[in-house]
Amino acid sequence: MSDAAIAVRGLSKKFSKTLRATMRNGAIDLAHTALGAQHPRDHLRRGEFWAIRDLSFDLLRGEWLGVVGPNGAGKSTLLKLLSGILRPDTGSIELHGRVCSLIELGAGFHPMLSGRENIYLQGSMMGFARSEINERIAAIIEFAGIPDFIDTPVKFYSSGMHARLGFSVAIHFEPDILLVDEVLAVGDRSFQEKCMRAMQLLRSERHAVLMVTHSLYRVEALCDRALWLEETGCKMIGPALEVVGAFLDDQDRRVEEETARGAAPAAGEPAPLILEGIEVLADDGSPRSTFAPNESFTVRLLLRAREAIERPYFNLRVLDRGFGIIDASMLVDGSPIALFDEGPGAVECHFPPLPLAPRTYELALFVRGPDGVTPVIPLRNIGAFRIAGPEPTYAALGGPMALNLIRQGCPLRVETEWSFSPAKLARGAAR
Amino acid sequence: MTTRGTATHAVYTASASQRLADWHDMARDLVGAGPLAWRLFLRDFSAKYRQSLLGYLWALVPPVVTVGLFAYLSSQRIVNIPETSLPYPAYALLGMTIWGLFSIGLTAITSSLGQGANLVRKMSFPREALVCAAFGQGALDTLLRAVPTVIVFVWLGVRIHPAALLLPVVLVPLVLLTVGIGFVLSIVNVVIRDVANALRLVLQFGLFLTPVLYPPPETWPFALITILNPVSSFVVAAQDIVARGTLSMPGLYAAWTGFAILLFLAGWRFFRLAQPIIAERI
Repeated sequence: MSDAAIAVRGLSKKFSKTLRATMRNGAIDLAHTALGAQHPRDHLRRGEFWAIRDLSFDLLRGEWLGVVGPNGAGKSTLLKLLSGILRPDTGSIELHGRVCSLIELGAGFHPMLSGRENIYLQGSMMGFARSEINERIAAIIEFAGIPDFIDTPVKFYSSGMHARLGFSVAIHFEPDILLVDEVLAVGDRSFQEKCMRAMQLLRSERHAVLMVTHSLYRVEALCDRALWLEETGCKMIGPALEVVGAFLDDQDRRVEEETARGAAPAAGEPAPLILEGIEVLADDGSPRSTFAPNESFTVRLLLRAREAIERPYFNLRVLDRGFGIIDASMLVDGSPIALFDEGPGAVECHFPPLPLAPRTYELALFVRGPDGVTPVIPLRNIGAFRIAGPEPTYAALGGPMALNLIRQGCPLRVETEWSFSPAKLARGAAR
Repeated sequence: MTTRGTATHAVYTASASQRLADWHDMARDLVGAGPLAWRLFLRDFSAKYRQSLLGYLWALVPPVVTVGLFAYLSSQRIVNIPETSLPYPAYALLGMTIWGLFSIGLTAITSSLGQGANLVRKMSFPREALVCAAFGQGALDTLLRAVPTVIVFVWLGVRIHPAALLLPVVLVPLVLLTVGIGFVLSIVNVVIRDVANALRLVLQFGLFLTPVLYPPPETWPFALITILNPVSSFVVAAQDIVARGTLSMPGLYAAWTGFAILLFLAGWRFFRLAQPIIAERI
């Protein structure tokens, strides 16, 4: 265990759900403390819930661990526990090395103080002496790239400047363990790249990085291992590619299940047109959820109009992990509906064979009025379908690299013909 | 229990340990928190009056107004104040200054954790630093309030005893008492926000239950004000040392000093042990 930077054993943390419960339980705990009694903390009292339950893992020196999971799985709580802001309710955390948490950049800044004064303040909070801060202040200002504004009160900083200074302070105190929470979502792109480069520089034998992010791409690209947290606890820990793959499959499965249950219309929505169901049909007319690449399919929308609607324009969009890749629009193809009478009706859209890569795709719908602008049904996801089929063989590659290419590949795959011209010919062609 | 900053090893566990050896850790952390407390003190000091024209003059207004009012009421015989050991304005201003050390310090400490909630929620650092910095603000306010007191002493030509130089030493128990109570109240105030409001009320009445604007009563049962109120004994001691150079009630002073030391240690301990409870409630 000598090379473990972080050792977490049986870690649990509970919170109170309401302010009232917080006050009641807090007062009871304080009374216990005042009387010198050890209160049992391994069971839930009224109004409490587990944010993290019985979590154990190691983070080795030199290793990057990505933490993934849905919202509310306890990712941020884990970071706060590791950085010592929150205390465990059960279990233990051992940290070997100087910890730097990039939980919220510039969290300790005081708005009335200048950037320079705040560097000293933040440095002191991290436990550094004035002389140690003096040694680094030039580099900090330089990295933050705001030398002209360093004596300006921080309250006049833009949020980008604030974050740059915060990151710069944090990174310049030679941390051994970096705790990163989605911080790179702030700032412009060039700053994000700068941060990533700075973190990559730390990527040596000595440093351990634990990052919480919703960017699965970053986890795959940067992390050695990944930890998948669910509300119920740790779902999986292992090589980053495997964990991210399993997590993605799980998310796809959830979306499909929601489709199978039927599109749930938003409650209490006084829309004139209501989507009551959605089916994806194969060419033989049978509803299915899985199709082969290059197989045509038809999306059937079961609707009910509360009032007669004149010439609605339907638009369907196929999305790949949130990004639209195909639009099907009556605004382009023309609307076959002169009048959608009050009552039920079905709208079908036939898609030609598409060279879709095997994975799960989502469907989004929006319907506009006769002017093509007024929303009748605002844009929302209504379902999903899966394309299943053999993965292409990556000739020279095997193992995790091939897996990576499959997952990060584009959703449209076409067979192309490649040729090669020797140098002489290429020059001739260029001339 | 907690280590940070330049430290390279830390263990966080569920159970706050109750061992005696922890006093050593506590002392080490308190000393370690010193530079940060100073930094936070400077922060508050420089931030507080940065967008203000009169700056720290604002701190001088309340004691001067209060004492002026009482001096006026007393000279007009509207309230009857017995002979005091020093000329009345000097006596009252001195008392107000000492009382200020307690009341302003305690008020500042009590809300210190709540006001630093943003930091406590997002960063790991010794929380004692917030308490110390808050008391520093209170002490600084007191020092500033001492300026009009000194001016009045010179102006009235009040003769003070040379032993008055010992005043800071005499006030050490009052500081311990203030910080000791503050340790507890700052924590409780995080969980139950009524504390700060209640404290304001208690301190308002407390001023009149302490021989600050009147001499210590000697008749039963009013003498209880001096005997049962620890702040009274320290205020009286300060007045004694300035006016006479000796303590009029050394036994009482010693007893309350012992109490203040115990209270400080208990409050500090409570502050440490209760930290896991407040972290997620702040």
